[in-house]
Amino acid sequence: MKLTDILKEFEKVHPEAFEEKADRRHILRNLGFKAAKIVSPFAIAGITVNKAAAKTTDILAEAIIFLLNMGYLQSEFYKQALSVAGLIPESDKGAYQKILKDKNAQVAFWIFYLNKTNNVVPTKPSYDFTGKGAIPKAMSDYKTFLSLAHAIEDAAVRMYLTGIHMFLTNKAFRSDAMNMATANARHAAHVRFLRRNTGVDMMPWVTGTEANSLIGEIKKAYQNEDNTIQQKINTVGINGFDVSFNAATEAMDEPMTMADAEIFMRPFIV
Amino acid sequence: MKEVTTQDQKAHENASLSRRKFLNYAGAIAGAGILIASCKKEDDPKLVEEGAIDLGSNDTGLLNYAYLLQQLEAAFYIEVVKNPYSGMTDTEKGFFVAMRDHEIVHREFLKNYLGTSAIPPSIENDWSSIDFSSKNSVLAKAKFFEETVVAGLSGICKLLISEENIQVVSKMAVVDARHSAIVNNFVYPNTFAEKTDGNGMDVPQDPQSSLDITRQFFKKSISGANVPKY
Repeated sequence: MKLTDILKEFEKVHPEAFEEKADRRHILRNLGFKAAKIVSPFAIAGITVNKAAAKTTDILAEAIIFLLNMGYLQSEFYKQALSVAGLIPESDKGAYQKILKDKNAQVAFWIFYLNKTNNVVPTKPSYDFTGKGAIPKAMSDYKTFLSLAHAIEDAAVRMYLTGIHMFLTNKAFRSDAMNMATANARHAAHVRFLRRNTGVDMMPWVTGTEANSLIGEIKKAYQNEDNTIQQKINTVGINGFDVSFNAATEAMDEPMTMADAEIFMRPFIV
Repeated sequence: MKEVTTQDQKAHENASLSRRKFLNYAGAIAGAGILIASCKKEDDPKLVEEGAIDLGSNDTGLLNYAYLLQQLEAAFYIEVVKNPYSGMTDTEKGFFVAMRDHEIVHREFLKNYLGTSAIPPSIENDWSSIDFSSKNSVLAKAKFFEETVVAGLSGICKLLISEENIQVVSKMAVVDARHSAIVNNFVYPNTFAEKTDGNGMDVPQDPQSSLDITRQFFKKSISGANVPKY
């Protein structure tokens, strides 16, 4: 298929990507950056790999690659889980298929824009969702799977909040990240709801730093999620209303820094 | 709140542009476009119907619309908890109480954040279309309000200029999306993300059309004449 045909096909499936996106198109012409140097999933964090390359990159492309890497992890997580016989109960399969469909679409969206700007698309890594043995039953026991699933979803919501911030100066991408953030929040709420149905006392929103959380570095998913000071305003008992600490932490999700996101995702990358 | 005047907008755009160096020619044009649009609005504020509550212009207008949406949701859940429909289980009540408290946080936060620019608190609601004694009626409206607020806040986020304002609105929007997902599930199982599009995204709504569908729930007339548009 020729490029123009691919674009035509894409337009049929995603007409909205071609509407009112003037500022995104403008930006794309200027996105060119030395992506070849930063195709490793974490080079972009600028912490462990190639700081120099990270400095020369454009923040928009950096944000796309950041969100794409989370999307890769999420789509592979559900793809693998759905392929393990007996892991997911029949009654819940439809929901995971729907979530996977959304994740795949999000991944395709970001890849499309990297390709469109002649940027190198990072290779999808191989994943081990046992965290190299730290969570041995992640893909064999449904309850364990659920606990990891909501940690990944909640972390993704937080990464999208960071993405929105990185896209600050570009309305179109900022809006895309916002609309993916709320879609991810829907997935997160549902996965938490499914875990609740297995008898775990939890709600669709994140309370504090999540007592039901996981082991080791995976706890990063919830670190600093218990913030109750928003723009210098304390929301606990705000204006005399009976708002508990827990409710205050639940009411707003907090962005996760790229450094924390790296620590969270790294154990799953082979 | 981070006040955003036309001058601030200009400074903000320019600062971000030069700092990040990702825009050259195209960026300058885009920046200028925003500037011209905002000057025009500033110079020529639209008249507001007498007696109507004016949301205002620029980021203030957008945040006031967010505040109005949160007033609506908070007032709705306060009423749901106060007058439970017949047969409301303790579990159901637990969800409504939690969502009520989150909406109170959103509402009171925005009130304080907007400070003297805020529209009046507790704008009286028109609940004539809701039967609070009926589970179906309450759930249908909860679904409608949550979907409207998620789409509305995302639409607001697209138009906001100030970094701080974008951050606080997006933080609230994702929690309202969690509400929306779960209320959808209560109405019909597995419909938590029924309206995501072919890109795996929720669909935002611009403030003008959003206001058109929410004003019926307020007894006072609300004007968004000066609120930024798509």
